[in-house]
Amino acid sequence: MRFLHSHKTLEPEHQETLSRSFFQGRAGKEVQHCIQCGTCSGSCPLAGEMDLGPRRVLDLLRDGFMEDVLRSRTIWLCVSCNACLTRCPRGIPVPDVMYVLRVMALEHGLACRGYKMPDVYQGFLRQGEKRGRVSESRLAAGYGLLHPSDMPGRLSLALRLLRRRRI
Amino acid sequence: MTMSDGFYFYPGCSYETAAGYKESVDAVCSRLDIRLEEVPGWNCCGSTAGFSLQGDYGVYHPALVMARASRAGAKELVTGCNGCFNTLRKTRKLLLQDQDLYARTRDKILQEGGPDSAPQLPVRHLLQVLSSRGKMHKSPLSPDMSGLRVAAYYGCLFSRPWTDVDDPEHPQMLDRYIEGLGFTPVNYSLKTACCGAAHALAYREQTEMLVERIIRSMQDKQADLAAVICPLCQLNLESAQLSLGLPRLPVLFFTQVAGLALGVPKKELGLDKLLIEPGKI
Ligand code: SF4
Ligand code: SF4
Repeated sequence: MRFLHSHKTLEPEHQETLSRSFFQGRAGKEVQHCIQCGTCSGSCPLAGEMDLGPRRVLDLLRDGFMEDVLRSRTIWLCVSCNACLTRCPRGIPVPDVMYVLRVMALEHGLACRGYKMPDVYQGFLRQGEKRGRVSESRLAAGYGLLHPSDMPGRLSLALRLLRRRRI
Repeated sequence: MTMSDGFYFYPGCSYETAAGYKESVDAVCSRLDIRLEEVPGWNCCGSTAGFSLQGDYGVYHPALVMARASRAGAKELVTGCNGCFNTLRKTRKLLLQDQDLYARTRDKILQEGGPDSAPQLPVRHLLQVLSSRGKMHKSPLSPDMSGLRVAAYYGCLFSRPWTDVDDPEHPQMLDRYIEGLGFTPVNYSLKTACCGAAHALAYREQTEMLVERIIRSMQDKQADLAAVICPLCQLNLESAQLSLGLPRLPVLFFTQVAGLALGVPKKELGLDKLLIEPGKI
């Protein structure tokens, strides 16, 4: 078994508490029906980029390895494309599983290092709540301030959009 | 389609800045006598950000959209964005199956001064509305346009997992629509492959790989252009081609394609906003 994180920080009791709370929720209850067929991982457009495939995430969850799952890049790389959900023979809402895990990872300070999607999501929601609506250019600018190294490649796109009055 | 039909249009945040989406929707709808009434005072649906940070309580923002629409008299919502489409439909489904979530959501809307009206409505995609209008073009296409090969691109969330909309794996609605306009729909295998959605911002390299496969699959089948039904798909499909230096394939909104067939002057369709100019038309 490949353990992803050698530096565990969670006590076993803490993992058990998180596990219990996960399986009490709507998505957690569904995970119990997984037959580990791997259709989700085979359908996932980003499985090749993930440290754990979606099937493996569900497997580790049921075995109680909450920390491995919560620190994984996978839970942030999922794009909510619904391919797994549509094809799963058990109808398991895998994207919803990822959502629950995201909330839990952030709540307990366990989101993996170098993760970037929380910043995208937080910028998005904050803007939506403050202004009612979200502008993509303002979102990209806010994100750029937090992750300047991602920006150079984006600059030429921004200029092109600007020239065509799309920002 | 007018207000009296009980339809209200939810444009979503990306609609206005999208490359000629609003322009072409306005032009096509006015020629088809469809009046799109916007949801008064609409707010952002929260998209995947809402669910990612709030779990099931992410239904609050889309529920507020629907409550505002029902207060205005809406019986049904129409949107032209796959992201909004999925978020709103998913919210309706969750609220109908979970009474506790429904009650909490409704309470929160009231607490925040929102309207006391049903926070869940049936939701249709603009493509469903336009294609239910049947054959549209009156005169045959001009010689430079007939025979154009158009690749219908549905993206993820129009048909997945919505079995009541179309076949989730092999949707046909946009292909038939394109055919009805007089163009030749292209058969290729990645019509519902993911464009990377909002991840394009943070995981650009990974999502551009996804787009490269899609564009190449269209080009392998000699597509002249792609027709899309979502602002984010349009932006991702277009921008990744430029940064990867791929042979270029113009990516138009399905309403721009419809406008061309209806003889709408090109400048009314916002084609000048596309990053990849549609040279052939
Ligand atoms: S497709 Fe469904 S049943 Fe199969 S491994 Fe994935 S979640 Fe489990
Ligand atoms: S919803 Fe997420 S986990 Fe499922 S196939 Fe799409 S990216 Fe992969």
